[in-house]
Amino acid sequence: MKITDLLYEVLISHIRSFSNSKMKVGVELEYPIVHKQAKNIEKNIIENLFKELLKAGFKCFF
Amino acid sequence: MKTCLKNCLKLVLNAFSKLDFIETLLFANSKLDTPEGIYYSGRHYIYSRSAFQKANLVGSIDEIVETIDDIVELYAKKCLFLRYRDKWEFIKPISLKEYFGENVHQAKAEDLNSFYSYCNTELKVYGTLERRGACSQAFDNALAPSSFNLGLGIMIEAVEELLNKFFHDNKIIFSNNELCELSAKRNLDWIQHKKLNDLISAVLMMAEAGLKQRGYGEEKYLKNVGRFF
Repeated sequence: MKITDLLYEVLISHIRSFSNSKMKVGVELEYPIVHKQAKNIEKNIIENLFKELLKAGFKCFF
Repeated sequence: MKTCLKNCLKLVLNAFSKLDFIETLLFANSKLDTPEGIYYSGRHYIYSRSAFQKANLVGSIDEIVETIDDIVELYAKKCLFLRYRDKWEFIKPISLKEYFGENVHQAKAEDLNSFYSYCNTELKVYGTLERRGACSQAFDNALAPSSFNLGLGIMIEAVEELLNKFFHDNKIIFSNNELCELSAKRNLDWIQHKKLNDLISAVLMMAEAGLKQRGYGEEKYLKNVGRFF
């Protein structure tokens, strides 16, 4: 099995043409939440985080 | 106008890799007090001293790629550390070239499904390009790094020209990873302040122009970027 052929198939062959205005963008945001005293995070902190995200313009899909 | 990413792949990989230190400078906001001093990108500090670095799975791309073959060769040097055989197995990191080249590892083509790499710029199996941004804050600035990269992606030829000129004029001999290390420590005083400021302003203007070209008003996400420069 030749790795160069395999990598070409997996990584390069699927790349398509696109127009600048129609280029789709996916954004992954990570928010690690850690308690300073190494305790479990309280539920309201997570809820408030999501409220802040909504205020910042994020929308729920469901 | 249609662009074929495959045709401009080398341009994209080379230019984004050169941009890594600017991205760190503009967005990294995960300050970490370390035995080696203060780092403004905690992620950079941890990743660049981890086993992932030795496995070529994190950081910037130092090699200049010229052809698709160069890109494939670059990926062949990256290591595999996980595979699935009825259950997940961690294996001693081994380069893809060795893993698939030596006939002793019971390699299967589908093992590439469990290949993970976390470099700043990555090709993904979905036919997409991924930019891994610095940890930035606050929430209302969350989309700034993505917008910055998107805008510059559209102006990539001009961006590469600008960066090449800057690197040439300032006789920069550091690798992209070395520049990221310096940038993460805010240790760029050896570049004239005005020259660095001019570069950042020009890059931001290009990002804004790229986003305006898309026509979705995404340039609004860049409004607070660079306010400290």
